[in-house]
Amino acid sequence: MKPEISVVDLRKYFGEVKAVDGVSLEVNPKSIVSIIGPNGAGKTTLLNLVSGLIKPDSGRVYFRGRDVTGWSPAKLVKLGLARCFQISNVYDTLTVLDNVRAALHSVRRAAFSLKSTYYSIQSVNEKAKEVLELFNLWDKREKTPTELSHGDRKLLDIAISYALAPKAMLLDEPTAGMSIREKRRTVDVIKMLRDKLEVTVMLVEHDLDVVYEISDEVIVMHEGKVIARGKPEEIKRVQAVREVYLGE
Amino acid sequence: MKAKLAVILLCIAALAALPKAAGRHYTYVTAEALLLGLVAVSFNILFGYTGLLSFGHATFWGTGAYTVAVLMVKFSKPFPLALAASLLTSLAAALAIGYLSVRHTKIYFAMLTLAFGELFYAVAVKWRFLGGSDGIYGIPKPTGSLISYYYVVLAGVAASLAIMWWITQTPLGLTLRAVKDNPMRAEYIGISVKRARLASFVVSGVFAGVAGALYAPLAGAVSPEFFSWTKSAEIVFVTLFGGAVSFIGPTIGALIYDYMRHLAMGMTEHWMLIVGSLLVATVLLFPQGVVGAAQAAWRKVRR
Repeated sequence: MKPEISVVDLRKYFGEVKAVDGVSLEVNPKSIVSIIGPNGAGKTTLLNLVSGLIKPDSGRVYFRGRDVTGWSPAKLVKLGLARCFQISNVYDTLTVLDNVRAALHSVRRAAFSLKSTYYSIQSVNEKAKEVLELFNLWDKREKTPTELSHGDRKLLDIAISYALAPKAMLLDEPTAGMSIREKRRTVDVIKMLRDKLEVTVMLVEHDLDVVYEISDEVIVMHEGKVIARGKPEEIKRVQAVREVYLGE
Repeated sequence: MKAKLAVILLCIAALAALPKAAGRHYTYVTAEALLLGLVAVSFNILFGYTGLLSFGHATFWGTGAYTVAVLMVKFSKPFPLALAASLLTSLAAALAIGYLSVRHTKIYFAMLTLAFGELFYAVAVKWRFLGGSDGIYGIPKPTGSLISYYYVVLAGVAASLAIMWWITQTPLGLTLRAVKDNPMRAEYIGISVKRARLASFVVSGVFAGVAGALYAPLAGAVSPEFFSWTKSAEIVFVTLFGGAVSFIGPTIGALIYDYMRHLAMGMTEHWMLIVGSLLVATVLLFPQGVVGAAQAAWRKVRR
């Protein structure tokens, strides 16, 4: 199977800090790969490199077989790579519905269209309803994100990215700061992305219970390097992971 | 929606009836205020809708006005042709300045647009062909009388506002609001933020040019002050005064400001002091502008 995302010998230093130091990895289509590691391990920097927010010092990023190293986020989105953020990244002054509409216009190459009002495009409205119902946000469509709970905001962030019909999604700490119930919902949503919607997911997460439950593969980072990788049950047993996390 | 339409039609009817009721002087003042309102709304496409503060918006006002002045006075061309040409010149200026400016935001963007405005001002002062610091005189009113030209202005302003309002309601309008709200998220839904900002800049610049082009025959003369930073500041000011949060806010701001100015001018030569203090008070009391405050009050009343 050809990997959906592959990263080859990626490096990014910030001065003396080796944030990402020679990382190589593959993510297979329709799988969930989780990256774990202590704070400062370089996990978010890795996501920033893959999603085009920053450029690597060296190394390559491939997406669906194409070398996309140094591509802008907007260009990557058009190729099918979407991303969510650690702090939910939504439009606070737009309604929930308009948050999704803006994404739908963009993916339909209609973000600059002047032909009709933005709220009267039937295909967009239907799709927006479908997406928001999928994420249980349809009832809250007229609210602004500031009126939503923390969990709903993060779900909206994922919903916006999903509206882009991506082949793969990068999630940065999708369950951070959530209550147990919100975590449960998010775990179900991420599983749904893979199982029902056939999206490849690469995520960074601190909650190991969540990681072990949903992942097909777990990658452990420490000080910019990959120190272990394998199936969840394998990773649970690896001595290095325990040392990094528990200081044993 | 129906109530809104009724209010709009009522306003247009009132403005159409104005010359009969108010006489020549206030017809002139109203036409001037409407054009200031138009340039402020065009500025607000960039500021209120896209989140970019331009301090050089008079550049396009001046470009439109000078295009009409040069073509009508120096080349004796008819007004419709001059108006059409001013669309092209302000479009060209907006594309060039926008292209160079939108890669920056905030204070850097403001300073760049200010610098371009001063550059245009310097060209207008130094270039003999444009009349130097005297400007260009004797621009004829295409319809002959002030009253009839007032209707040209009214039609031009109404059409321009209608087109800009439409733009705010299209997917492009939503895209601009998304870019203002969260440029990084906009980039991550596949929008080229630079292109969106440039689109906004061009729309904004072209309609500012139209406003200037309509103003030249009304005033009968153009001068380098059309490009000056004080004119740009006036545009920023009436927008904030009227309320950047609403589409029509800047027009209301312009109308109140211009009327106040003319009234105060009639009373004392220190009119700027009166207008200035009134405006400072308004901005302090209503940070969302007059229309913003009215909207907030209306919401309270309904509750």
